[in-house]
Amino acid sequence: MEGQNPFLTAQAQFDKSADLLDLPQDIREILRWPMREFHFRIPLRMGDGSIKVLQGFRVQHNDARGPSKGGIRFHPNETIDTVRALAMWMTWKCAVADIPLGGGKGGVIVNPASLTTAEKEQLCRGWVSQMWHNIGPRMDVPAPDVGTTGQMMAWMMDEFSKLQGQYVPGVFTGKPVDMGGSLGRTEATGFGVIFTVREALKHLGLDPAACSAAIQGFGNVAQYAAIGFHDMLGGKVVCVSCYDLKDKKPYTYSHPDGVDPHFLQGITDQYGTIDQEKATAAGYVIEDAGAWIEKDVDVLIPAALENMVNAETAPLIHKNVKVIAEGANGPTTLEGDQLIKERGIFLIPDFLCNAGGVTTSYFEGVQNDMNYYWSRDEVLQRLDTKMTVAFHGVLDMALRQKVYMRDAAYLVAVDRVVRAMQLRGWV
Amino acid sequence: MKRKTETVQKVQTADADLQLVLSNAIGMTESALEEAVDYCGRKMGTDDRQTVVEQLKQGDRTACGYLYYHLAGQVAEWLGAWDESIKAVYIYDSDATAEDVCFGRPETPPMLHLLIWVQRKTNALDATLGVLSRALVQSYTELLGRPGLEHLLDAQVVDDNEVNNNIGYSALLCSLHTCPIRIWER
Repeated sequence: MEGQNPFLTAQAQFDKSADLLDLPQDIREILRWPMREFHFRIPLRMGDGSIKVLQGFRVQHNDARGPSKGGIRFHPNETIDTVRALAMWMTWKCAVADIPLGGGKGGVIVNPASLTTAEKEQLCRGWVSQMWHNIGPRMDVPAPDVGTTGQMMAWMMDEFSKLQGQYVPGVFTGKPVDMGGSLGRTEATGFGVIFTVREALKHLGLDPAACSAAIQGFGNVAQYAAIGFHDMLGGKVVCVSCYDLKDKKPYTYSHPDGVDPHFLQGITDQYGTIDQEKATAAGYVIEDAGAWIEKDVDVLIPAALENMVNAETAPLIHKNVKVIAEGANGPTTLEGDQLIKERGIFLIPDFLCNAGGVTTSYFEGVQNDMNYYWSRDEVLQRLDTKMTVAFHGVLDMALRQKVYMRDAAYLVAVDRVVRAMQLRGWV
Repeated sequence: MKRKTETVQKVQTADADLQLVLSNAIGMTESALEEAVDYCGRKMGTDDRQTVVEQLKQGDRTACGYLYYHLAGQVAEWLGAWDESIKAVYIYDSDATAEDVCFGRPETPPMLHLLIWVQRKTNALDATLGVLSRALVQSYTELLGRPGLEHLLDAQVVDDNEVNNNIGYSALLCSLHTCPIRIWER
């Protein structure tokens, strides 16, 4: 919260990996800080004619492996240190996924809900006019993030194309499918989670079809993770959890024979709430929200809110759980992580597990470059290949160095970035 | 016998208090919604209230986002004035990642996801939130004609102890990726 500096936390995490890799001081000095930062002011003519000047950022943490990649956030509490931390995190995420991109992040201190649609468009174009010399398909490829949307990416791409004097769709990803976006993007993160779970189960000598999973959440990532576990792996999804706005509390929905994610999708209303009556009639058992983490299952998939596996909830994890796949970003606190590590549970860390999203963003850029677009099945097939290779890269490191999977993922990522810097003659 | 009488009086007093809260809440939600629709129109660049109402009825994401934000601010201010134990109110994102917003369902009706930080949790605040929730639904249905609507408010109350120990929903306050937005503080 207030007082905790996210960038210091990110640097401490890097220092730990640097120690394990025994990195020399000069390399550490490069990677502990962003390579480039842009701080700029964006004047915005408001609907009432007044001028409001907003503070914008773009941080390019490291581009040794390729153009920087990372979202643009519009958030009223944005700070440069948050952007720095997230840019560094993107460097590791792209490296661990082994996509040829570096890490970046951008932001504007603004609450988008306070702007009119026209002001938002003007802000997007203003952001590009400040940054267009320093972004591009070969330099830095931003994407939507908190407070920004696919429509905004389309506006930004249009502004960049105007300034360049040519159509450059690959400068931004996360665009609508009708405007150069990629098919398969909707399912990418959830299915990517399942590709890594499949490989983890294989490694542990478990038959996925004989395994069970408990999934927290029933949002986009959780839904496709549930569908993937059920349809692709043939496993049993014991439960999903979902917030019920009628009762104003979350519940866990389970079924003795395993939940049918397609059925649950069909009885989920527009508010994301599962119809309790229909679920009960179909034999579903409705329990308290916390029940998902206590289930006797092989795999736990937290795919909802951040920091929900913590000192309070991690001790409740059932003794038979063998794999935790972090579908959400940062679902585990430091305290929760320590408990998981002590229990010896096989962890698939978030920046590997949910890298299906950024990998498909990379595919979007590739398709934009080719001006040729793949079918959904082709995208997902390629995603499977990338996620599988990425998983094994981390697993090999974990086995070789005898370290926890989260540490191994950092080691793989840092090592790949360092090697790129060495090959380019930077160090 | 005396104790039974006291209990009955307490219940009657509590009921009367809740009635007062309810009538106050309905008044607040009615005017807050009217203002929120106006705000929505201004932000969407239209003076035509009916157009805005239609877009809200259809669950247009942009329109609902504006309504949600303005309404949340009004509700937070009202709660802060009503209950002295409230220290701050935040809007939090109920989705796992920003991807859920960009690549998930295309339309979402308004929903107030509030994180309410209090010194300590009380039954009185729970009761107030229950009443507020009913008032919101009633006012929203009257204004926007959405029969069957049962819920608009998702309020998670966290206390000092939870915040200090980073547990429960208070753990969201430390979010790196999707930090809740503080919309009111004492």
